[in-house]
Amino acid sequence: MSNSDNLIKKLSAELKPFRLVRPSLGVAAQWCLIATLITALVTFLIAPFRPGVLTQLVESPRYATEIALGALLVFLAAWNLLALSIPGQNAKLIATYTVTVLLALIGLQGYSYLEPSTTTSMIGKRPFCFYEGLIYGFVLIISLMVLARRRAPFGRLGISALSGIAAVGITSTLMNLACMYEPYHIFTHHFAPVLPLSALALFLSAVFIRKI
Amino acid sequence: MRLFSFIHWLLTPGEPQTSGSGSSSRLSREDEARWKRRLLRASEGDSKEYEQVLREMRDYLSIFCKRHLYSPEQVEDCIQECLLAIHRAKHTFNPDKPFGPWFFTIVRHKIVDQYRSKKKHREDERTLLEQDTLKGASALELNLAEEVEALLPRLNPTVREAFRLTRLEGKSISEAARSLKIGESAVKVQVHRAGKELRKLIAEEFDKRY
Repeated sequence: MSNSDNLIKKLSAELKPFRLVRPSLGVAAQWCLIATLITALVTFLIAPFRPGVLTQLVESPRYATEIALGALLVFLAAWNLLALSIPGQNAKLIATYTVTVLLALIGLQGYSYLEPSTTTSMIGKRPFCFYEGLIYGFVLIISLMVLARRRAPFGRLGISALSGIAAVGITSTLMNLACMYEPYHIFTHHFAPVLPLSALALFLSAVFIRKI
Repeated sequence: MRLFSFIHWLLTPGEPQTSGSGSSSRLSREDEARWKRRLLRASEGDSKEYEQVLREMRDYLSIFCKRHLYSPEQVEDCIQECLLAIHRAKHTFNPDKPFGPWFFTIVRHKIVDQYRSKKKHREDERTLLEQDTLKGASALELNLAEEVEALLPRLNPTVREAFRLTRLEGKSISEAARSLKIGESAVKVQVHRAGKELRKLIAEEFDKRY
């Protein structure tokens, strides 16, 4: 009897009923909705959102586009991560969308740095927005790693990069709504957590993610 | 051509394009449908169906892996790695989508892993071989140096000194010329003559011994 025969017998003997994973698109949408709602609720409970933010969204289409692109990026990154964790899913195509939206958002934010998209002021300033972003981001990364781990990922680098993008996407978009609007502050306090969180995501993926 | 088709296969998601393989290595629709059905039954805990589908996959993989891997050990390793990966990823297959892309993505990754491990193995072997060659070369050089040293007394004293200073002690032609108090071109001539005499002596020694 060959070694593969023994292996097949062993694997069949170990078999228990298992549940097939749900499609990535639905899970990603669900995760985005739940993660955004919980993060928004916690953010609101710690300090209220910036007064007049809704008016700014209505009055400045560029500002509204920045927020919309941020939300879209979160969804695409989460979808891409989940697709990457399932063999045979066309994750490259989703990655193309994700990178395109990421570049568009970077371009728009860069332009807003030179030409603010709405009135700059210190109204709504949150004293610990950087640390809030770090803490929420950490929890969000862990939740994504758990989702990826339940599937069958082949690589860790993509998982860690995408979990970092999705987590920072949620926190920075929410902070852009909740905290003061000032382009320099946005870069140094709302987007800056991406650096420590990316390093953390790399470490966590090495701990959490087991390649099949 | 084989390399090109392999790269193309790596870049193309889904079912691989095997060059000149005919239809024998392609997964037929019947196979796909049967494997899907069996895996669905396995998801309910039917171990007999699961064993059967793994056996069918094994038979298929044994043909498929032989096309991409050369040594029988690697083929067997790859089959086992594929079966293990399929076992770990069995809950991720989607019955509503084609089975081929899911199956071949796993197989492709495992074959690439085999290539990598083979490459690493080759590099390790090459390093060991280089180390051995270096050891061998230095031993040979040492042996030859001893032989030359032994033959030096049989050389003409004037050419021997020029040879010793330039070739054994590593002095330059001008330094040797100053030590021997002769011209630089004379040193060159003597070193050349010493080399010629030594070659003759080495050949004689070789003839005597062998």
